[in-house]
Parts: sequence; C-alpha cells; structure tokens
Amino acid sequence: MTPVQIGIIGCVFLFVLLAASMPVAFSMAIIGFVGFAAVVNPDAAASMLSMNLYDTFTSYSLTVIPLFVFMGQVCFHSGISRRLFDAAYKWLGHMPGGLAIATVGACTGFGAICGSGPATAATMAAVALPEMKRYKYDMELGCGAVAAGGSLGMLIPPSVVFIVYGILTEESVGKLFIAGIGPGLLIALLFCLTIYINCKRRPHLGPASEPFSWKARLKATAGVAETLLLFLLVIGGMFLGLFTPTEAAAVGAAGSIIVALMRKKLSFSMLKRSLVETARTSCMVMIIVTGAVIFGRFLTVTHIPYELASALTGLSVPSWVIIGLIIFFYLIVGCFVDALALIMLTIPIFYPVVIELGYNAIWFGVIIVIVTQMGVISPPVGVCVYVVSGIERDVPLQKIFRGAMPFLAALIIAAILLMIFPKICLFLPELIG
Amino acid sequence: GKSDGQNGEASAEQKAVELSYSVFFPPSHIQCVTAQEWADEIKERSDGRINITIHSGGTLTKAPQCYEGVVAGISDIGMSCFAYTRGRFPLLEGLDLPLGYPTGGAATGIATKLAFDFNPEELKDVKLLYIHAHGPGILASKKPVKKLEDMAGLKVRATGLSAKLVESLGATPIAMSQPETYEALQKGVVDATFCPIETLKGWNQGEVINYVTDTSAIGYTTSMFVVMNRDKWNSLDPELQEIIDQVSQEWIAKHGAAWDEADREGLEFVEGLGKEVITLSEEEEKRWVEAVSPILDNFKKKTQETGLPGAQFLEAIQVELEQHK
Amino acid sequence: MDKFLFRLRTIYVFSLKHLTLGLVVVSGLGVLTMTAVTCLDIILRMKPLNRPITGAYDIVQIAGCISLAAALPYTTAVKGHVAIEFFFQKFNRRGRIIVDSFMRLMAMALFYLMGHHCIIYGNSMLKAKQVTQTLQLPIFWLPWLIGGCCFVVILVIAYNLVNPGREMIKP
Ligand code: NA
Ligand code: NA
Repeated sequence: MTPVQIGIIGCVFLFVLLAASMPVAFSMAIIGFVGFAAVVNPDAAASMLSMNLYDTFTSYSLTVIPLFVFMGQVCFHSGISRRLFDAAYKWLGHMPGGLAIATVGACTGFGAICGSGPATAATMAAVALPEMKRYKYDMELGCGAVAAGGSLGMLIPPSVVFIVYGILTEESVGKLFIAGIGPGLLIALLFCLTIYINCKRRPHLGPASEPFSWKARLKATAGVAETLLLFLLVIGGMFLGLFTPTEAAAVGAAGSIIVALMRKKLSFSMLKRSLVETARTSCMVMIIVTGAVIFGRFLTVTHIPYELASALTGLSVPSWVIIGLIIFFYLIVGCFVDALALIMLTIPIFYPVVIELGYNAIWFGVIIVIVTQMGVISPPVGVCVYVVSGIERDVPLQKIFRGAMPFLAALIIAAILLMIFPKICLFLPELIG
Repeated sequence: GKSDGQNGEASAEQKAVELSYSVFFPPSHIQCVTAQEWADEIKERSDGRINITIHSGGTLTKAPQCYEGVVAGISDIGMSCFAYTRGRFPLLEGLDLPLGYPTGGAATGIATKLAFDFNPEELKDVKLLYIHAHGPGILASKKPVKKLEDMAGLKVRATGLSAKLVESLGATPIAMSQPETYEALQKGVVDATFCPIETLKGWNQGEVINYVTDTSAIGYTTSMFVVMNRDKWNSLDPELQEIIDQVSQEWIAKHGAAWDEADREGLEFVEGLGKEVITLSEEEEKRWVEAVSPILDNFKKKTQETGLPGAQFLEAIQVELEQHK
Repeated sequence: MDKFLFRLRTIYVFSLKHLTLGLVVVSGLGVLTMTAVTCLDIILRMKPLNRPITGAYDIVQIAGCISLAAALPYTTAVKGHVAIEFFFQKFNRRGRIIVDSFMRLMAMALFYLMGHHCIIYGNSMLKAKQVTQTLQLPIFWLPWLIGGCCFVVILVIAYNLVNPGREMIKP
C-alpha cells in the first residue's frame, strides 16, 4: 500500500470512530498513531504520540487558553458579564437576535487582544452563553454565534496565522496585521446581518423584547464600567508596551479577580468553581489540539496535502478558477488538518503560483485566514465548534455545527467580496505605505 | 526539473532507500533550501538509490523534539538547534558561547570541525552528519547603543543562553518566542533583541527597530545539528554511507556561505530601511569582551565538575578563531 | 467474602475519586501560579524597578503543563471530552453497550501508549540531564507527571467501562 492510500483509509476510519461516539480528540490521536505506525513504524509512532502531548502541554504560546478561560470564568461567576449583558440587552434586546449581535461585537473586541481562535471562542462561550440562555435565546444561534465570533480572533490582529504566513512568504507581518482590520470588521458586520436576518425569519432563535426606556438603558450602562476598565487594562497595557499579547491573558485573569474583589463577589467557593471549570475546559481544548497535531503528523508523512496541492497548481485553467480551487482545497483538507500545519505544508506550493498569476501577496494572506476561519467552524473537524460544545455540554455537537452554517455562508460571501474588491484589505496597508 | 528526477528514479532503481528529513526552518528559508540541495545532490550521486524527503517548518517534529525524534525514528534525519534541549549537549553548548565569531561561515566550519574532533559522548546515539551555525548575534535596538553603559536597564529579548549574555552586559533579559518579538519591539515591551542580522529580515523585525550595534566582538552563535538515526545509518550500504558523508563534507561550506549571504541580505534590508548601524570602538569592544568573560569561566567550571574537557574545547575554538582573523 | 470484595471496591472507587479531585486542585493551583508569576514579572520589570523574574517564562511553562496534565483525569471523569453522539444514539441499547465498550478499550490503549512513552521520554531526559531553557531546572519529571496522569485516566475509563452511562464525578 502506498502512503497516500493509507492516508485515505485513515480518513475513512476517522469518520467511523467519530460516528461511534469516540471523543474527537481520541479519534484523531488513534488514527494518527495507527496511520503513522503503518507508514513509518510503530515505535516511532508511539514516541510521536507522547512527544506531541508533551509539546502541546508545554507550549508557552498556548498558555493563553487556560488563562483566558479562567478570566471568562471569573467574569461569569462574579457577575461581571451578567451586568455587561444586561446593559447590552437594554440597548439591543428589542432587535431580533440583539444579544447575539452584542456577542459578535464582544468577540470582535476580544479578538484584538487574543491571537487564537479557540481561546476567543472558549472565553466568549463561558461569558456569553449563560446570559443568552437567561434571555431565552435558542442555543443553536447562541453557540453558532460564539463559535463563528471566536474565529474572528484569527483575522483581527494580533493573529498567529498571519505571523506564520509572514514568515513563510517573507511578507511584512505589520502590513498583514493592518490588512486584517478591514475584512475583520466587514465579517463582523456580515455576522451581525446573518443573525438579524436569521432571527427575523425564525423569531424563536433570538426573541426580541419591548424597547426599554432611555432611563433604564442609561442605568444599566453603569454596569459596564468594570468591563470597560478591564478592557482598558488589557488593551491599554498592550498598546503601551507593558506586556505581550500572551502575557495579556494573565493580566486579564488577574484584573477580573481584582474587579470581583472590588465588587465583593470574590469568595473561596466562587474561585474554586472558576478554577475547576478552567481545568476542565482548557484540558478539553488542549487535548483536541494535541489530537489534531497528531493526526496532522500522520497526514504529513502520507504526502496527501502536498500531492493535492501540487496537482492543483499544475492545472491549466483561468487564474480565478485556480484561486477558487485553492480555497476549496483549504475548505476540504482543512476539515482534517490543524490550520497552522496545513498552512506550513501548502503555502510554499501555492504562494509562488498565486504571485505568478498576478495576485497580491497580502491579499492572498487575508484570503487564507478567512478560509482557515471557515475550517474551524465547519464539520467534521471544527476546533471552535468543539470548544463551544465542550463548554455548553447540553447542546449536541451537530446542533452547533448547524448553528454555525449561516456564518459559514457569511464567510464565503466575505471571501467573494474580497475577490471582487481587493481594496477592502489593501486600502489600509497602502494608505500607510 | 524535480519531477524528471522522480520519474527516472522509479524506473532505474526499484528499492531506493527512502529517508525522511525533519527541518525546523520554513521551506523558504535559505538553510532549508540548502538542505534540499544537499538531498538532491545525494540523490544524484547515488543514482536515485537514496531518496530524501524534507519535511520543513516543523511539520514532522517540532524543533525542541527533533533530536529525540531522530533517536526514536520519527524522522530518519533531523536538523535543529542544540540549544533547544539544554543540558543534553553539555560540551557542544560551548559552541554557542559569546566567543566573537566573525561570520556564519567561520562559526559553521569551526562547529563541525570541533564536534568531529572531540566526538563527545552526548552525540553517541545518532550519526552526526555535520553542524552549521549562524553569523554573530548583533544587538538590534530602538535607542542607540554605543557603549556598555547604554545597555544598563535596557529590556532585551533573549532566551536561554543569550539571556545570561544580556544579564552580564547589564541589561534585562525578557523571554518570548521569536514570532512575538515583532509586536513586542513595535509596542516597546522590549527595547532591543539579540539575534543574527539575518533574523531582522527573516522575521521582519528590521521594520520595528532603529539601530543595529555590531557586537561581533562578543558574537555568539546558535549551532544546528544535522544528524541521522543510528540504526538507519548502519543499515545503509557502505557505498551509500560514503556518498552521504562526502556530500555532507562539501555542504558544510555551502551552509556557512548561505548564512553569510543571509546576513548580507539582512544588513541590506536594514540599511534599505534607513536604520543606522553602529560599530563599537576597539576600546569599547574590549570592555564588552571583558563583561561576558564570566560566562566562559562558568562554562569551564561546570564542565570540569562533570569531567568534560570544556576548557580544552573553548581553547580549541579560540585557536580556530585566531586563524579566521 | 462478597462483603469484603464490596468494601475493597468501595475503597478503591473512593481513592480514585479523591485522587482525581486532588489532581484537579493541583491543576487550579497551576493556573493561579501562571497568573501570579506573569503579573509579578510584568510589574517588576517596569521602568523604575527593572527587576524581572529570571525564568518567569520557564515557570509559566511548567505550571501550565502541570495544570493541563493534572486536569486530564478529572476532564475524563466528568465526561468532558467532546464526542459526536448523533449516530451513536441511533443504535439500540445492546449495540450501544458493545460499541461503547469497544471505544473505551481503544481509548485505554491510547492512554496506555501515551503514558508509557511519556515515561520513556522522561527517562531519556533524565539520562541526558536535560534542563529548562533559562533556570536550568531538571525537567524529566514533567513527562513522568503527564505519564502518571495518563495512567490515572486509564483507571477512570475502566470505571466508566464497568459502570456505563454514569459519570464517576458529577461536573
Ligand atoms: Na486576534
Ligand atoms: Na472544518
């Protein structure tokens, strides 16, 4: 059997394990191990398992996940987020899906702190979902919005994907970051529109309230002060150069504890509950990351992504078809492989082709990130959806994937808009020079 | 060109030895390109009997796990830094000390020569093919650094061994990953970074600094191994072993030249951005060398405690360095 | 005799539960350590003080690893891992028990492999005297700890295998 054949069989068996209710992370790790053993050898495969587990657990850049999750838990248990959403409800509650729209706004803001999609999704899930439930929002909409909103963290700077792309292509990371702002805001807007239209058609998803009086609105807004303070602390500190985005996670966690203390909401039991939830959520996320990495190692040795990408670039069809096919490629292969590993494997093949076809490298980077965003909310392997599902455990996975579908459509529209109007992302970098 | 070779190999030889090669550099990096040329050359000289597939960008094993990965057989060949697994290479750690390497070519030549000459116990579980090492670490900063006093209180991005270097110069080391350094410099989390000038282009950090101080008088390096799984090596025909050894010998100079070329491009990039390059006066250089000497003494002391010939090792490097001056 | 075995089993389940809960306490302390060390480092390195914690990076990395490893058994005990239940629920009761048992045995094998090879990895670090980047602390015990936690996970899955359909610990 050739490695490519083993790879295809591996993908089939991954589906079998997933359908048999094997946890997603274990499924990927088991198939990754068996496949690697078949292609290389069993001893090497077993070492590969343990080394990747160790590597993920000791990754400094991934420490943002437990820390941001902790921050989200403290905000939830101390009522900080409750007051924030009360204010949002007073202002936006009369709009269909108003709270979900507010959540997308919060994700956009949080995306400016955090460079990782799963971490953004985990934090916002802990904060926003219980609140939306309180206001009788359908969890299909709520979970979908949080998963999709979380993926915004990858496009709005800082962004890990842009950094990796910049290194691979020797493009300026600074320019890439700036190029992400325009499309990031566009997608946030499209997400809000998606929610609005969806809730207009199916009002039970996000029931609208009677409009509140201005007095009630202003009164509720006072409750936002502490969130604003927290936000200023984290964003301001980063902007003033006091700490890095990774360190910002710890500052945010400490800040939320201090706010809880000021509010006299800090108790031993509340801290305990927050920490236990943090342990469970971050472990769940990191095991999924580990599983995805292990499965990616297997696909690496089968050469499948490489062969597919090479075949694609050899086609003689109009240039926009090639770009379309590349996007399609990322959509499909992105279903199986961890986004960063996929970019590492394939950008070196695609990049020269895309440049040769006369496309802008920065523009292509933005397109890649948007396609990666599609990958993390689409079935069967969508990390952001898994994260939300792990936090909101009463909602079945397929329901969240279904809830994410309209947002996937919004992302596709965004990609098409960017193809027609590249200026959306190139305007700012060109302005700055 | 490449696809022709693959077809030729399939028809000419049925049982070509397939070797996987894990490289932590991204595929566009000049060192990865040089490694690919090395693999191609071996394929050609062996008439397609050895086929090496490179997995770049850490897609097979991450940089800190690369060495262990070769030992375990995850990849047959691996390229990574000794410094990523501190303590594992107690003698070869000496290669990375601030000894004043003038160029990457010199560092590469010296590193490989000494590793083969001393043939230390720590490399016994693999077959060493060769070592290469980057050009002298320079100081890239937001504010001008013209004398040792300018270092006082400066926040410098540095990890591991270079953290000690930063401390001994009176500055404050702050550890962070290379991908984070761009933003950290931009926002001022750190005021400077220690790295080969090549990095300023490769990671775009040249955009966010204002000055480069040429500190090659205390130039440290990061040596990178190219090693092969021992069993895999032993399973090869002596004839094939000879080919690999021979090509490796020839490629030492090429990797060195590649580092020098990268440094040249890095310098051009920085100068093109209009950043100022500061050279230290001879007197000032002496003070810097003086300041970092405790690091060398510490290395000698530590290796002596464990019965390793650390002092001789450093001496040998210094003798080689003299020849390069 | 039956009574004795029953008591033994009770003691065993009690110990496993409390080991898992003890580990989750360790995990929480790890998160607090990460938060405290990072914040302290940021404050101490500010301009007038200029005294950062040497090796804060190392400490955060180690604390993070401990925190995640120690959370493994608890996450498994509360069935915190994400799974697709959609097709599974279409099976009848017997089919479900058979498929479920088979999956659990496979998961146990997976954790055995991971745990066993983590210990081997740690042994290799011990032999090679590998240390952390900056503080130069010995590091071999970290893979050992992960390996140990993987073995506790096996016990937790075994409990679920024997008692299908109920969590060992209520979340
Ligand atoms: Na972001
Ligand atoms: Na997907």
